[in-house]
Amino acid sequence: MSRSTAPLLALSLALLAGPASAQSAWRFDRSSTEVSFVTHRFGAVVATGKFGRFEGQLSLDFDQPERSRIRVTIDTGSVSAGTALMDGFIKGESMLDTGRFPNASFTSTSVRRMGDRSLEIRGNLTIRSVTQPITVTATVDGDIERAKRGDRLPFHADGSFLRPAYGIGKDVNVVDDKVDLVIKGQVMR
Amino acid sequence: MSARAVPGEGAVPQAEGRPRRWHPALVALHWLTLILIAAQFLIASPMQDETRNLVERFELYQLHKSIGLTVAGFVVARLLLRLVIKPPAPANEGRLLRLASDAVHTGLYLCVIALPVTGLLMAAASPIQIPTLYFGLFQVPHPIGPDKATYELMLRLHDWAGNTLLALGAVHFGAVLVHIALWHDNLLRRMWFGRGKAQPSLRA
Repeated sequence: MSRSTAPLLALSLALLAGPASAQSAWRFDRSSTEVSFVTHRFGAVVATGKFGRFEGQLSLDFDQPERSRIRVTIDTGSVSAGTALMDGFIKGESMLDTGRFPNASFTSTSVRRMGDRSLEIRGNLTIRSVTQPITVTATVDGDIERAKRGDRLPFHADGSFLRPAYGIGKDVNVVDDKVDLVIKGQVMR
Repeated sequence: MSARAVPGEGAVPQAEGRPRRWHPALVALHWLTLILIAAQFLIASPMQDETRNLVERFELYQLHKSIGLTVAGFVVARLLLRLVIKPPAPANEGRLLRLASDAVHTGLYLCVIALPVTGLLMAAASPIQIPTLYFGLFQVPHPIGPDKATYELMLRLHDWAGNTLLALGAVHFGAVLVHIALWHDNLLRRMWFGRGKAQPSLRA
C-alpha cells in the first residue's frame, strides 16, 4: 500500500507546493533582446538608440505574477544612437555622463496582472544616481505553457521617464522631456 | 565735382598702375565665399527643423560649422591679400556713390566676420555639448565653455548678422544689376578672371 501511495503522495505534495515554487529564474536572451530608448520632438520621433550591454535578473511567477521580481541593469556607456557624434553627445556630461554614472537600473517594487498576457510593473528607475518611480507595461507575445517547458518566451515592455527628474540634458531642448524606454525580445531560463 | 579731379587714395579712377580687375586670388575667394554662404543659408533651415531626425540634424550642424569656419578662413585670407594687393580703381563716380559702395562692402565684410565668430561662440557656449568637427577631420577647440546667457546672446547676434548679410547682399546684388543693366559699365569684369585687358570699369 505504501509502495503504491508514495508516488501519489509525492505528486500531491508537488501540486500543493506547485504555486509556491512556480517562481523561476529567467534572463534575457541577449541575441534577440533589444533595450532601447525613443525620444520625440513635437510628437515626431527624432532620436532612438540601443544599449548593447544589459543584464536582467528575472524571477517570474506566471501563476501568481504578483510574486515576480524584476531587476534590469544597463551599461550606459554601451549606447549606440546612429553616429559617434550622437553617442558622444548622449554619453557626455550634460546627458547620461557615463564616465561618472556607468550604470542605470530598474528594480520592480510591485507586479500586477492587467490582462491574460500583460503586466503592470511598478518599480524604481535609477539614472545618474537619481531614483524615481516609474511604471512599465509588459506584454507576453508567446506561449507561456511552452515557455514553462523550456522554450524562449517573446515579450515586449515599455515605460517612460522625464529627463528633468534625472537631471539629464538640462537646457537641452532638442528632444522632449519625456523619454520612452522599450525592451523587446525573449526571456529564457 | 568730377571724381577725376579729386586727388588722394582711392579717388582717382583709371589711375596709372591701378589694375583693372581684382587679383585672381581675390576673385576666386569672392565667388567661393558666395557659394559657401548660399550653402549656409540652405543648410540652416533643415538644420533647425526640430521635427527632423536628430542624427541628420547633428550632421547638418557639423556641415554648417565646417563651412562657416571655411568662410572665416576665406575672409581672413581676403583681408590679408587686400593689404598687399593693389585694388582696381573705384567703380563709381561721385563721393556719395563711393561712400555707399564702401559702406555696403564694409558691412558685408563685418557680417561675414561676425557670423563665424558668433557661430563658433554659440556652439561653444551651448548647453548641448557637441564637439565641432571640421568636416570630420579634426576637432576645433571651443574657446569658451557652456553658458546659457552667452549662448542666447550669440544666437541672437548670429541671427541678426545673418539677416543683415541677406539685406546687404540684396543691396550688393541690386547695385551690380544697376551697373550692368542701366549703366552698361561691365562691372562684373572687375570680379572675374582675365588678362587685364578688361574694358574700363567706369561708365563712359
